[in-house]
Amino acid sequence: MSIANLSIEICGIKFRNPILTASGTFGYGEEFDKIIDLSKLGGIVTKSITKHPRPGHPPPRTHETSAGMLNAIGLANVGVDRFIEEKIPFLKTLDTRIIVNVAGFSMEEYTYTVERLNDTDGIDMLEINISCPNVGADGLEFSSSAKRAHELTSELKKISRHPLMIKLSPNVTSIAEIAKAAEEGGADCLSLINTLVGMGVNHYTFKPILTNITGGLSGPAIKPVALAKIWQVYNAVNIPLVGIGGIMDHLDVAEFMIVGASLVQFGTANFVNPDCTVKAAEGLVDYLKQVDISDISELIGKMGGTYEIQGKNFPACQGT
Amino acid sequence: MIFNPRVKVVEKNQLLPDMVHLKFEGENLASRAVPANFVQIKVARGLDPIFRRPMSIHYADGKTFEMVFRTVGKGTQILSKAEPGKEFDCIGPLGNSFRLPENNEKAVMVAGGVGFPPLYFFSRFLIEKHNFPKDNIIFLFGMKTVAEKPMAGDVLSLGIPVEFSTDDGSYGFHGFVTDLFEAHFAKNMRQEKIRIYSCGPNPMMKRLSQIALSFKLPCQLSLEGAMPCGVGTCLGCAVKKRGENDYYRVCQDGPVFNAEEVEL
Ligand SMILES: Cc1cc2nc3c(=O)[nH]c(=O)nc-3n(C[C@H](O)[C@H](O)[C@H](O)COP(=O)(O)OP(=O)(O)OC[C@H]3O[C@@H](n4cnc5c(N)ncnc54)[C@H](O)[C@@H]3O)c2cc1C
Ligand SMILES: Cc1cc2nc3c(=O)[nH]c(=O)nc-3n(C[C@H](O)[C@H](O)[C@H](O)COP(=O)(O)O)c2cc1C
Ligand code: FES
Repeated sequence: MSIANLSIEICGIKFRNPILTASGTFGYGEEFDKIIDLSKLGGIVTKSITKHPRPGHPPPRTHETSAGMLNAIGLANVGVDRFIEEKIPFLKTLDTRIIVNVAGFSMEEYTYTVERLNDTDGIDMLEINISCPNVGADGLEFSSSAKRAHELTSELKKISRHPLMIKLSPNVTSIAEIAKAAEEGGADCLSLINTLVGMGVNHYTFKPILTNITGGLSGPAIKPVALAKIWQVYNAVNIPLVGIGGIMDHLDVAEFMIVGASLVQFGTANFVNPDCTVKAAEGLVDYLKQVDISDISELIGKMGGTYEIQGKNFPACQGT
Repeated sequence: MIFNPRVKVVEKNQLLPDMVHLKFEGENLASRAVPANFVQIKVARGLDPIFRRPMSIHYADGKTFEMVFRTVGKGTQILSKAEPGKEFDCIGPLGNSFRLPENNEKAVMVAGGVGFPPLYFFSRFLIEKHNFPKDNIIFLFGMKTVAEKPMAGDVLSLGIPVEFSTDDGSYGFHGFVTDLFEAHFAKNMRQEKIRIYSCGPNPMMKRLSQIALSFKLPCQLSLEGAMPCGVGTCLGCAVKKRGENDYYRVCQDGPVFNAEEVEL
């Protein structure tokens, strides 16, 4: 059998392979350009950018946990103006897809940033980080209700020249409901999951470990949660999904695709092994040979949806 | 290339019950290392602990490199069990280096405990690579107690003036190494003649920078702190920029900073 096809097309954009890097774990690509061959990646998702530059939270900002980490970086970023001026020229030179992650603390902040990026070349897609509190209104996160997620998505869809990937939070009662709302609002695709809220405390000083008290849990510890959320959303919407959460190697990539992801993002794994993405792309070739699949897109949703798995829809209690 | 998936332990010395010196074979890394550079070493094959551990390079001679560390938690405990022959996955060399002293300047090394490795490497580097006169280096070594003196073996073998302080007064100056510096050096040295280099616990370096700034002495600090990635992308190793509402990344912008640049 010849070498399997690793390329995937979603939202009219062709990706060399399904492997992207997750926002906040890969900077703006510059550091990793010196370490790995970025043209081996399907794409790069840049650190969340906001209307204004943000210094981020005072340290400690991170805490190692069992098979993962907590982070409360505080969306430290250079702001959209400097991003366009200083980071885009470099990103444009790269032979890989560029997805720019946008965050905001009010509807106006999101729309401002998305509009600024409309005039910028070299961007293939925007990922919208909706796990931010709407400080301008009730202070609740845009990701926390279907109504808010729908409003934000449809507003941004009206103005964005770029396809929109809406990044969902797992810290909600029903992620499928939020996913459907974003789809109805016009999302071109969805990425999930962002980090799970967690915290650490020092048993000698009685103080929280992170200055911000709570932080986001990521890494292999959250992989089973991520798989479940992706499967739930896969059963609820018809737009492509991008799987995130604890992915460490090519076999994790395969698992995320099997439950419904078209593409995946590597986050925390980049800290453990900076060449994990390149190695995973290589590993996928061998894996596909093993399972006798010639085109990786055949993996997407191969496990099947609710109906195929359960045979019939009988009610079940969670966990048992 | 910073990837060194198989560096091999070739020598091990137990300097103290809780302090180990390891020498590794790893030419790619050793040949490019300069003082204050560090490595990110993966101590466990699995996920426990998941992150690499940052360790200063104690010395590198082109083919081998060394590290000295204290056992403080899970990662260093695993590393302390390594015997010759054992291989590790190491990223490095990482980080910047110290600025060289001017010809007429004395280099004053202020080491707090296991912060001494980058200062040992730098002293040796000045002597061997820059023909820096040995008498123009002064090494101030702070320890908790006299029982820790074996960790200073390499430093003592350099043949440079070394002064000790102990927290309990059991050897050398009684007090912190910053007190030793303030009492005996800061006041006596003309400012254009000395340049301070330091590495140690943060409270120590904070105190030292206060002294250096008040005497207007040039002072460089090699900072420590938790480092999830070590390559500049997680933004976890933040240190405050002095007088600005912003942060440096210790791993990428440092680990060496001028005392006036950072707020500890
Ligand atoms: C650039 C750099 C160079 C370093 N060089 C050396 C060296 O040459 N020799 C050496 O012994 N150590 C050095 N360290 C510190 C070393 O990295 C930590 O001691 C180590 O990561 C602890 O890992 P652990 O799993 O054993 O401890 P953990 O279980 O992670 O922590 C145990 C205890 O140590 C504290 N701790 C953890 N990490 C650090 C840290 N980075 N700095 C200070 N306290 C910490 C924790 O708060 C905790 O109280 C360096 C750190 C940096 C950033
Ligand atoms: C240090 C760190 C910083 C992050 N910053 C962002 C960010 O700025 N925007 C965002 O949408 N997600 C951010 N994330 C979340 C990741 O993109 C990803 O969704 C999450 O970490 C789960 O994937 P992982 O387990 O592979 O890391 C960050 C994660 C980490 C660990
Ligand atoms: S350790 Fe990640 S940015 Fe410095």
